[in-house]
Amino acid sequence: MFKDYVIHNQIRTLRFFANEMTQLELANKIGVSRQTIIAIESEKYNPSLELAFKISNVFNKRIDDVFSYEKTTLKK
Amino acid sequence: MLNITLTERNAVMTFKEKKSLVSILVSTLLIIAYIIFTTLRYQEGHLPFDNYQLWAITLLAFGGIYIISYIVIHIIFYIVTSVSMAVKEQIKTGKVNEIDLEQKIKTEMNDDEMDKIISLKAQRVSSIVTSFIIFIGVVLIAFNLEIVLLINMILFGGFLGNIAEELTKIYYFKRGVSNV
Repeated sequence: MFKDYVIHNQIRTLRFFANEMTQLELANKIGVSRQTIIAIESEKYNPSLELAFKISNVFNKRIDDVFSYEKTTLKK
Repeated sequence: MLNITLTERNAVMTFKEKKSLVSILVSTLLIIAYIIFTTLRYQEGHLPFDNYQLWAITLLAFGGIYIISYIVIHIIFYIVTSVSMAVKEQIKTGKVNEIDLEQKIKTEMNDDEMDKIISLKAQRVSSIVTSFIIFIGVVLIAFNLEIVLLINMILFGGFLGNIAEELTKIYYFKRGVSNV
């Protein structure tokens, strides 16, 4: 199924700027498994609103600084 | 804009993928054990096709054995995984911080929201597989085949449903899952 919009995120970049925080550290802070962080980072899973807020709070960012809802661009 | 590639996907299997593999292994071994046991008993003449009570007892016994062995093997698996995580931590850092390690184990083993979505999808696949196999069993009875076949298909439906569930979980763990 083709999606018109996709949710992108900046978690990898934000982890880098947070003193290269590991995926496990982030997972521990928000109470999910590292596997879930991997899936969110690689945009294979869209977190719930609550989890998205938790992630934003860890980096002291607004939710739309971490996640963006963008129109899909077709690759030629 | 800083461009960082998403290459941290670990090639090593995660705890939950290993757990699913262990479940598949337990189910497969028990199916094999059941087939060997019933075939031998049938060949010896102790398990005739017309003795439905004996077949039902055998089925219930294997159901019980399956549940007990599933629990025991998973407890052993949890212990082995916890110990291996502690050993890896010891090798990596030279010391083990018990609080950190406990947190790490808890994080890896707890079911979070993604796991719950994956479980729901996997359970749906499992129900479809089990129902389909039992349905085939009923159809075979309608064609005047042995009732023992239906008894066995109930058991196989359960086992294969479980295997399908765990395979679905592994698939979604690897591929990711959509919320819709």
